[in-house]
Amino acid sequence: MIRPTGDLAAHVRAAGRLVVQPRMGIGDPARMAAGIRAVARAGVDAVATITVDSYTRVGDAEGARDALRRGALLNGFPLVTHGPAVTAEVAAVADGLPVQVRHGSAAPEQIFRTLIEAGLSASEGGPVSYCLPYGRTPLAESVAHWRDASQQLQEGCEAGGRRAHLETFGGCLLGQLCPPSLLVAMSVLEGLFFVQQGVRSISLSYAQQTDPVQDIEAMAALRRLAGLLLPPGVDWHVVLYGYMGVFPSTAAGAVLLTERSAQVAARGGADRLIVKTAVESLRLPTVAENVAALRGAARTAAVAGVHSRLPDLTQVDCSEVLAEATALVDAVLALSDDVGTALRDAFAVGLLDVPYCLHRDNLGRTRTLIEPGGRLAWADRGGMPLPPAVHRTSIQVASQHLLRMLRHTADEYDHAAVAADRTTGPEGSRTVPAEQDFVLTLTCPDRRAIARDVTGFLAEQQLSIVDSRQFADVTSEQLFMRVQMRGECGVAGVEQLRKEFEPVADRFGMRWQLHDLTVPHRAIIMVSRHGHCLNDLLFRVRSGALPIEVPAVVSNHPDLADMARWHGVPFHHIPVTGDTEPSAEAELTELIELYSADTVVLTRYMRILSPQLCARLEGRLINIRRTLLPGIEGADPYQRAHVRGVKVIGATAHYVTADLGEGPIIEQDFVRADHRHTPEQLATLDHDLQASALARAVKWHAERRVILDGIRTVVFS
Amino acid sequence: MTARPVAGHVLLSTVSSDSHTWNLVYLQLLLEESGFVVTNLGACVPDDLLIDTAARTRPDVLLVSSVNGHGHLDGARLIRRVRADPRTRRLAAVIGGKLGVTGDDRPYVEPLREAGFDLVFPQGADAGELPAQLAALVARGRKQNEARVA
Ligand code: B12
Repeated sequence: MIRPTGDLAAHVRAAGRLVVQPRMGIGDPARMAAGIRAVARAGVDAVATITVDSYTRVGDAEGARDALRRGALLNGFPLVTHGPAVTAEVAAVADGLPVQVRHGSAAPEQIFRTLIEAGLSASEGGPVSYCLPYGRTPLAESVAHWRDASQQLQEGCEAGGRRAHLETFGGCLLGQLCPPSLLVAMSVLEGLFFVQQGVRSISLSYAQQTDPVQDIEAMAALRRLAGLLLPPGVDWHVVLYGYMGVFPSTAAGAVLLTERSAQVAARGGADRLIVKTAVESLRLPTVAENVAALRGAARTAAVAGVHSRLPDLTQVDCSEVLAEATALVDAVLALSDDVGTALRDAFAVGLLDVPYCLHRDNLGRTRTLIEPGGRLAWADRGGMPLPPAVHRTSIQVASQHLLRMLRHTADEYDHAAVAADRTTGPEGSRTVPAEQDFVLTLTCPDRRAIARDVTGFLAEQQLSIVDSRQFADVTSEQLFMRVQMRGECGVAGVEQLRKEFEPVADRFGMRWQLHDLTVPHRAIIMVSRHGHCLNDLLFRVRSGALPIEVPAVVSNHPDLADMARWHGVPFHHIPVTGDTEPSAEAELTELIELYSADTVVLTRYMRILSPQLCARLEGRLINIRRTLLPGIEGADPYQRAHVRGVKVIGATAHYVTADLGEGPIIEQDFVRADHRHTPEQLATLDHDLQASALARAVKWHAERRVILDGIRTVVFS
Repeated sequence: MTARPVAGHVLLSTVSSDSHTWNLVYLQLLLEESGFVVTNLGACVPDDLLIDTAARTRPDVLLVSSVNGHGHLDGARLIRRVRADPRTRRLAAVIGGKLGVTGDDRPYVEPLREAGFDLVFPQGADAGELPAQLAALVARGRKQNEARVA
């Protein structure tokens, strides 16, 4: 029996936050399955994808078979050629996750038949959007094919006790240079077409264009129009396609653009996001590149509320795009009660007309321009029934002009990446290595065979050891161990590794942690008025000396906002007075969650955190202290130190605990001083000392070199 | 508008499985600006349609652009058929774009030339040079034709 995979729409609803999805298609079934497994284990809310190859799309079964026979690399999964049994096997590794088939065919009957038999239920397309951008099938034929095929999908799934799901591709069309109103209208019209064929679960697409605010307006309009026109009882959601046109040619530029896609998705209220990768402009992505892009998108979307200055759905004025889209939809629906027929006739008379589309059934009278501010607008609306133009004129486009428009977004992000190079490192530094580093730290009663079993486990997982340290404490008879290892099973996700390690840990009664070192450690820095440690840490992060990410700086004073901004880090001012303490802490806790911060570093933060918060952040809260002789601390310490002629000054970096003023020490350092040092010189010495001791402590902590042992630590520095 | 001398007639096409057309729209404009007359066949062109059109309209050069990653497969099949057909056996033919899915087209250059293309442009080649290169091909073809007639 073929086990059906999950219901796409229900899965999206249940996630309750943005669900991410790749465009992944691989010719070989085993590699396709590995890709789906990696998506399922990526540790994000995802939908898996089978993208179909181009031979299958155009119905060239012979071409697909021939390529497979010769072992040639296809640009997708030849679904029909592999057939339902193989497809079902491939999809089964999704482990309950919905698997959607994306294909681009104007005659999808065979593809749908195969996916139904394989136990799948979700696909994509539309009578117009899988026709005009995808080939030369006459529009009338595509409408007929899609009518039959949608009904067949609906009935086939129903018979199998599943719910068919179709996503419109109308919000994308040729991928670029199409003003949003036409995309919104096409998406809604294709949604209505699916509903007329009896499909009750649909998603409406919109593809990101050149201007994020315009995109959010379009998404607002799409929601409004769909809410008005889709009958009750239809389960629908909105899916954003990350930029579908020419992609930046640098990896750093591509990463910036995909981050922007995730922000637009989050701020624009999309339920699902189709994610592109850093290699989009070059070639098909690998599985690891897809997974890295999914994780990046999920992370960016999660913090978009704070990190991004984009407005949200409720803050934009969508009246212009809504008016245009409504005019188009109304004019089309007036042609016939049958949406398919109306669509066909609308193109014949030019009520709908896609810019730059070469298909014979598209009149091709419309043209697009990119306004100076970056928005898409109509240069020529052809015969489309649009409200009168404000300022647009007809233009004759030369090849270089066209190329510039096609590359507008690519160039914008390539340039932005060059500008940001100072902060993000050289090009490509943020792409994912094929191999990943993990680190295991543990402590347990010292017994024989521990090291043997641990290394045995690593070998089983095909991980190789990069670095291994242990310490057997003779007084407590405890063993401490840190193992750093490397392997390709990274895509399987650290979660899976943890699960597999549990039996070994239980056998020896271990306290242990396993971390993925390729996921950057995120530390929020808190500060009051003294910026020396903050500046030092941020500088080290920027120069690559300290391998962490600082998503935000939080302070109870506004003084250091400029310093944070200069380093390109968001600054949050949370004032604290006696009575605002609880609410300030609540705000802080929220930020920690929002940024998924692993650690909070206090760099001369002069407020005391509540015992509750300290307890919650146990082992994740680091502080730096001056260490002077008793009696010298207090007001004017350097003056007093000078007067007393101190011979050493010291600094201590330590974890903060609830019940102790001074928690487990991570690192200490001192310098010698003498009578000649002025108070100012003592202060400078001390600041440097604090900064360097703290930087070491944070580095070791982030690299998981510090193991807590009650009120002390074991550090494998 | 002033009439410019015709640099040649280009039959512009992609391969049978490839739906990308922005490349075609761009190349058409580029060549027209250099004085070529361009017949643009659009997306997913079946081999037969291409060969029949070529036989009927007798272009100076066939320009195939493909970016979906199947160009090395479809292109090779197509050009063998072009060379096998007596009507198009001598047609000058060029292919370029993104010919495979790995980002590195170099392995396909020789096989595609052996299969019958006169010029093969791997991914990354500059389309800006194309008008001049096609003009040279057209001139060579015309010379050969004259030689044959004489
Ligand atoms: C827009 C787009 C689409 C649109 C196309 C709509 C249309 N009708 O054109 C849509 C969304 C429909 C689409 C669909 C698909 N696409 Co697409 N698409 C793109 C995208 C994002 C931009 C292409 C574009 O518009 N370029 C603008 C033109 C002007 O540039 P160009 O095509 O690169 O051409 C330039 C050069 O290559 C050169 N050139 C081109 N031809 C020639 C010829 C000669 C002789 C010379 C000298 C130079 C030359 O000159 C041009 C100017 O510089 C690219 C990725 C990218 N580049 O960012 C992917 C891309 C081309 N698509 C790709 C794929 C695989 C597909 C799909 C199979 C779906 C999928 N699996 O993702 C389907 C194709 C279905 C099919 N039957 O073919 C892959 C190809 C992979 C590869 N070759 O390694 C790419 C690279 C994306 C990726 N990384 O996966 N796509």
